[in-house]
Amino acid sequence: MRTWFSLLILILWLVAPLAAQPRGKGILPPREKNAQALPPALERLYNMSPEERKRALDRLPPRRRRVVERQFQEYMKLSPEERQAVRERYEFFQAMPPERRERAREVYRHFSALPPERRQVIREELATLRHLRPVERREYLRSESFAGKFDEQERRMLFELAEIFARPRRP
Amino acid sequence: MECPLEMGGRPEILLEPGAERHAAECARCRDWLRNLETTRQALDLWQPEPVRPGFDRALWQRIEAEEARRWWRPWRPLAPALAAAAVLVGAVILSSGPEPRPLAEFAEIEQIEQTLSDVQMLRDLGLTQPL
Amino acid sequence: MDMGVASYAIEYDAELMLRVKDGDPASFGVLLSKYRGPVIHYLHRMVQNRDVAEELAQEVFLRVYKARATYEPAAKFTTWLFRIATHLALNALRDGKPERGGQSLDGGVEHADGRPSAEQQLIRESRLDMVRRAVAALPEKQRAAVLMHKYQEMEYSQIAKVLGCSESAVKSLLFRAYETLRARLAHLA
Repeated sequence: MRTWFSLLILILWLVAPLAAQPRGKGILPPREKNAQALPPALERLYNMSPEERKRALDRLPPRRRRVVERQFQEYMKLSPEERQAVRERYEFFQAMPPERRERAREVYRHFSALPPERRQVIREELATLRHLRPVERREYLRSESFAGKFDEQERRMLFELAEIFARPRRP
Repeated sequence: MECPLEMGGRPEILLEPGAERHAAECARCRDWLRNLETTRQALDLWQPEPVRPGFDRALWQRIEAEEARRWWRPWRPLAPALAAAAVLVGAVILSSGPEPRPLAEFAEIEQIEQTLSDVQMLRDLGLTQPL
Repeated sequence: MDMGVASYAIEYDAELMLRVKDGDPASFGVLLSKYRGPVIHYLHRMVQNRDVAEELAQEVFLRVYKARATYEPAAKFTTWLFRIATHLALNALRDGKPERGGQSLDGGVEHADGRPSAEQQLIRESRLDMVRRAVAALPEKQRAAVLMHKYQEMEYSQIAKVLGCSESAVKSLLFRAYETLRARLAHLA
């Protein structure tokens, strides 16, 4: 028994330094002092050590891992003010009922499949629509000028997005 | 078309797409469809509550436990011998190889992935610009 | 969530489940985040008890995960998912499980929109309670059909597959259910 125990100690002594070595640098941005304005889930990722991050990201298939890394890098490149704006908007989105959030994601999948120039037009139109009162919005959506600019799928997409993300109004 | 609400009729056809055509000529069915709409609107009062946090984590823990049980079942008779071997192998793996990946932790990285994807959506739709 | 969504969504769910079958638990996580809400809400409205609904939803997803090795995309993923959920809900109702916790017809709905006055809140709560009780009073199969039709926006054919009956039987169930609800909720109009 003593022999086994000694052997175990010897093995642990030999392999422990290997475990302590860093295992390569992560692709994600290094930790910086200014980490405020992160949604909680991203704050967790931000606060992880490089080893923890690697371990967490390794749980995703390679393609999804690359997307996460790219999106996080882009997010961290934003100025603190931009990040604050994103966080506020994200919190507003999180407060929506789950079905509404899921519907938004569904419509966004269609939106992402459009060519960049159509996405830009829709983005601009959505900004206008969100500022209208519900009655004005419905009237505008029925107007000929609106119908002339978009096809059926785009009109539907805009209608849904404007309803989901309508600017909150004071009572 | 005979009124489906008459005795012996098939009232369920009022739930089919062509029902409005008949209802245009039948006051009784028109009333029924209007009432149906009102009833469905009343059901809208019952909106879902948010899912409590921790649901995913608890589920992944159950899945993990289930997986462990499934893996363990055929080896149970060899338990004493396996336990001794596991101590030695475990020590080596823990100190040199990557750490084990508990399924429960998938919940966390997925939440991060979902958050990033939602943030990307909000930015792509131009919703993060100041109002 | 609209269950009658375009075909790409159906293929996507099946593809995710096939990836789970191939040993990718992260894809299961995607399915979980997509359907956790709809399944819990369906079960909550079925058994009228939030704790029991979440317990059953755990069981639903556990069964899906355990069945991954034999999964074949023969039917829509959501049909399979809701068939399991319905089966478990009906069993729980027959076992009298929702009453065990002593909080059937539980309340506590949180509203994100505005802050109504105390009186408005009371009226709203009382109307909501009537709706809950009217749904709870429906026979189990009628209740399941209405919940899938109204809240999950499933098509008749899909509800029929979930409940294991014909489309005309589903319409008949729905007609009777809406008739009962109409009578009970007429005063809310």
